[in-house]
Amino acid sequence: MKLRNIRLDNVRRFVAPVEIRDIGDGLNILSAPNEHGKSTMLDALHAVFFKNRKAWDSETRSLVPHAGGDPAIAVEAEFDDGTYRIRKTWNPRRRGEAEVLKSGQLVAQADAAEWWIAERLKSPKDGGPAGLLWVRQGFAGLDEGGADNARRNLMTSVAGEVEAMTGGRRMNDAMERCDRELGRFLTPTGRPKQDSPVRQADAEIERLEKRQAELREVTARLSEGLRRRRQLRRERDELVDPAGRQEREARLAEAEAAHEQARRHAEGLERVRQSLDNKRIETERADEKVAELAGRLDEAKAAESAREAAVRHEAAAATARAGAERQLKGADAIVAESEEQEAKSMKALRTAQEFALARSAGKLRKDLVDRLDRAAALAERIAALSAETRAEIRADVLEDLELRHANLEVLRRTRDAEAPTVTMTYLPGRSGGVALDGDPLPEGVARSIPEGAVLAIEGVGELAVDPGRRAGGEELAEAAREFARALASAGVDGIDAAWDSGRRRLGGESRIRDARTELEIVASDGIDALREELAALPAPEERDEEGPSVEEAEEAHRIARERLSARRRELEATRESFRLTEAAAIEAAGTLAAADARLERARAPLADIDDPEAERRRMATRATRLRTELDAAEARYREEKAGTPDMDGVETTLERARSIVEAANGRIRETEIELAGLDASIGLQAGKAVHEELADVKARLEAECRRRDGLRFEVDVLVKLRDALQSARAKARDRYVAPVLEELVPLLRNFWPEAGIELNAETALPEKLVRPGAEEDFDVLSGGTREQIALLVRLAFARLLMKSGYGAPIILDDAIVFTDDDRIELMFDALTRQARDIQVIVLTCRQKAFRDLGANNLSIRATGG
Amino acid sequence: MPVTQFRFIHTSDLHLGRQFGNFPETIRGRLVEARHGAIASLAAAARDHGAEHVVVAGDVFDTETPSDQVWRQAVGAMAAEAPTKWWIIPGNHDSLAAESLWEAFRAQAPENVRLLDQPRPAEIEPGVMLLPSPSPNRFPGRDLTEWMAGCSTPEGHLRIGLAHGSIVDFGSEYGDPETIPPDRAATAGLDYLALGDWHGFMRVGERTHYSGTPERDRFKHSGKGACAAVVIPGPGAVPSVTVSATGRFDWSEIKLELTPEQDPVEAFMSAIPRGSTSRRDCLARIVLSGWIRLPRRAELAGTIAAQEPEFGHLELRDDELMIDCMADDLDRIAASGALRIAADALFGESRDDSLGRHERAVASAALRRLYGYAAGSAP
Repeated sequence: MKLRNIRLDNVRRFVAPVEIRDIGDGLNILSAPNEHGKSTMLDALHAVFFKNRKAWDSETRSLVPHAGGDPAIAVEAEFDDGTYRIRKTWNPRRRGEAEVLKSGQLVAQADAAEWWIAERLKSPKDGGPAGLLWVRQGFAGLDEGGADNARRNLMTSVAGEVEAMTGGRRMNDAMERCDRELGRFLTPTGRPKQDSPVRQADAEIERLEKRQAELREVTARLSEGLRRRRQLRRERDELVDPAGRQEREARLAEAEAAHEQARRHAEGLERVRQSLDNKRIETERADEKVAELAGRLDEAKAAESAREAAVRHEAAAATARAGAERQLKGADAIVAESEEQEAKSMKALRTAQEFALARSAGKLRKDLVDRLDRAAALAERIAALSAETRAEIRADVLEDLELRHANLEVLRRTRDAEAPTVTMTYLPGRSGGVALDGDPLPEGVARSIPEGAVLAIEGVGELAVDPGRRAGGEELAEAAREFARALASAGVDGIDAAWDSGRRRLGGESRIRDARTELEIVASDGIDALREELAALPAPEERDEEGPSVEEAEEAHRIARERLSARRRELEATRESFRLTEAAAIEAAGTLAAADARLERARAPLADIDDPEAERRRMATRATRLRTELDAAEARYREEKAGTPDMDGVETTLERARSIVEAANGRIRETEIELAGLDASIGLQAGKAVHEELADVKARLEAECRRRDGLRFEVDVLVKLRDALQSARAKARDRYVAPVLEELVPLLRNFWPEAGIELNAETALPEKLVRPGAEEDFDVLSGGTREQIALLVRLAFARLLMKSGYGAPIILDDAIVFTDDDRIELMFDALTRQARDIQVIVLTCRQKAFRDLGANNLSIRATGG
Repeated sequence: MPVTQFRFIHTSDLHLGRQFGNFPETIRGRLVEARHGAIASLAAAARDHGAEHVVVAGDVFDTETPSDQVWRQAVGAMAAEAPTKWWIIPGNHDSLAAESLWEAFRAQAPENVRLLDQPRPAEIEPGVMLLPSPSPNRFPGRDLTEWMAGCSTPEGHLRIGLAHGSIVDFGSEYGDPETIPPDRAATAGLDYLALGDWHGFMRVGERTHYSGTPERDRFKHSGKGACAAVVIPGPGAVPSVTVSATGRFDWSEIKLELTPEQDPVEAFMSAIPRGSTSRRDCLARIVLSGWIRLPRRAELAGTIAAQEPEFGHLELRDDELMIDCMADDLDRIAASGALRIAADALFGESRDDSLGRHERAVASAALRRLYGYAAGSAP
């Protein structure tokens, strides 16, 4: 946006219309003395862009001239899409006008015009500064309020931009208000406050919940009491109901009557039972007596029969004993005869044996003499053979000779194998004529000559052959010598003789063993023992007769002995038979004695009865009668018993009837007592309106819970708002502070090479000027320096806006007051450089100082109407 | 002797002793007092109607154990209205299970106040038989009017049923055993069946009505409490029933479904009762739903806050009201800068479906609050 024309009508001192025309693109200056209307012009510009036509506040009221009337301001501004004329008026009725025209055509009016203006002033990017930048005539107060005030005034000069960035005062106000409201609930550290409304609501809810629980308990008790009382009353009413009571008593009386009747019947039955028992005892006794008498009679008869049988038996036994005794005596005589015969046969046998013994002793003597002769002959032969055998070579000597001979043969054969040989080959037609050591030498046979030889050649002479000395010859010779000495020691002349001698010795030894074996057989204990045995034989007896035969005597004796044994066995059998008959006779005598005693015992009880049989018949008749009577009594008892009432049932019924009556009476007393207690308890509670209070507390609790929820929601809302504001301010700083610094620093360094500046973290306002070796708080800087920094900040904002594609005019109203001449030149340079692409309007009363600014000069002129 | 015409007042559900604990202290006492005043209002209605009898179809008291003050003063108020006669049956809130209450009540009741605690006919006037069905307990579990069908009364006498309970749901194939058949008047040959339990007036049939409470006690039934003024021309004749106002307080639940283009202040002002005098006895609940522009929400809040002192009770429920926010609404907070960033963030969260309902509501309320700060008005 670029301003082209400003027209004021009825604004402060300009009662008649005035205007500033032909405002250029770059640097413009309106230089005029004080009270000439420059600030009015600036205020008018601010009002037309930022004060709603309906606003009637100090700012708009200040535009009204002393004479009154509605102030009217019109501005021509050039935008990318053309030039527009904006016009506004204000009045106390808040019905000012606003209109926007383009080429004389109305574009918008009233609220639409306001909206149009706001849209045009808004930064194309959200959150940017508004579309007009200015430094107001605010530094006059620099000396009045000290540094803080000066800083505030200075910052006021950039307040629009800073506020646009950080929210500024409005943001601070919003945050303060939010914090203040949140402070009702939370501590500065974010913890719930002890006396916060939420806590109070919680406490009230807790109190109401507690009271509700108490009341619920009371009402529950009360309800239970009422229910119980209704139940008890119903029960009591039923119990005391006359009909019910009468019914219970009638039931009891009926049960008692039934019980009495049953009791009487039981007594009668008991009497019948006792009578029956007596009759049964009497009958049983009669039966017993009849049976007893019959038994005695039967016993007496049986005893008599038994005695008669015993008498018969005793007589038979005596007869049998006498017969057996006779047989025994006969047997004894027969045995004695047999013994005598056996003794005779024995004597004959002994005689025969004596004769046989004499014959046997002569034969034995002859045999011993023969054996003694043979034994002597054998002893002699053994002695002769032993003498012969001892002259022959022993087996061990022979063995030694054999070993030596074998060794000699080995040595000799070894020598022969290594000895030279001669083989004769005769001329054809000849077959002999050469002898070796005297023996003809055959053709073609190799003859060994270990010791050399002499060959006799017929017709030639002898040829001696010497084999010379050879290895092993000494050993062979020594062996031959040893062998020869051994042969000599053995008494033989050669190995063959040795072998013959050995064989002879072996044959002799064999014959000796045979003779000795025979001798052993003939005289096992030696010849001397045989001689002693012969000497011990009796002298030979001389008998003339032959004597009886031993075999016959023995046979006769055997027969006699066997006969004796048979007779003795017969005697033993007869004796045993006698013992038996004798025992039977004794037993029969005992039986008879016992039968006598039994008969006496059986007859004793009957002794006092005249006619026992008649007595037995009489007693049987009585017993029969008693049995008949007993049957009748039992039939009566059964009949009586069948009609007996169930005593247990009757007693149970009676007991139950009594119990019902007693329980009812007891229950009536109990219910009365419990009802009295309940009446008292309910009476105490019923009038206290506990149900009403419970309903009330419940409703209050619900309301308080809703209120508490609302308060919690309020806290959530305020926390959310606080967080959103803090977050937004941080974002705004991040978004604009750095870019502003980026634009500001190059401008600063035109004034102070290598200088930097720090912006306040909270307010984003200049806080420190940083120069090499020095860091100065903004508040202690000189007025001129602060003024220059403020202006440079403004220019930096303008540059930032322009870069964002939205150039905003800069309006400086007496913005350079304290700057000295040197610095003002630098400032002019800065302004000129910025004005190359930004519209700058300088309002100043320092006409001389700004003469060399080199800007487009503006003037306030009266218009034609 | 046949009756030619019988006039009476039919009422129910006085709920004397209700405490209204969920209302502010400022109105609570007045509400309690108004319930007690219903007795005099009913008596006045009876006089206006030319009736000597008031039949009360249950729930005279709010609980089974009202305070002595409540029931004694009720008895006193009824006694003071003699010769008007009060015929009372216990309802589910003050059933016969409240033995202590009714024993004491019976003992203290004057001649013109009759407690009907047995289901047997009572001749309340020559030729007029009242067939009462007192509630034996809070949940009787059966239709208490069933006995009326089998109850004979002298020929030519009027038969008026009196009961407390709900009517059977016609949509249900099987009726709830506790509910009263809607044709009970016909099946029991009743000239009129006076019912209680429903707090608003309801015509069930030409001979069956709920009178409603004489003094409203909740927003469910809007308007003022009333009773039924009944005229029975004669046995078998169709009764004439008119609603006679008795209530002091006017209960209004005003539901405003707003659109962003709508002027909510105008809608609100046209919906609430006019005249500051009648507003004193008015309890209003404003239930807002739909959409509203941010500035208008603040404006409406201011208007409601300004109107609220004139009402006996005025409460606002805006849980269902959504904030519609246009760009220029946010401009009014700040056209740019940090405040605008904050406003944009809150607005975004208020519309962010990925957030929970509570989070969105909180963001919306925070935006409203910020708008209030920016506009310099109350949030």
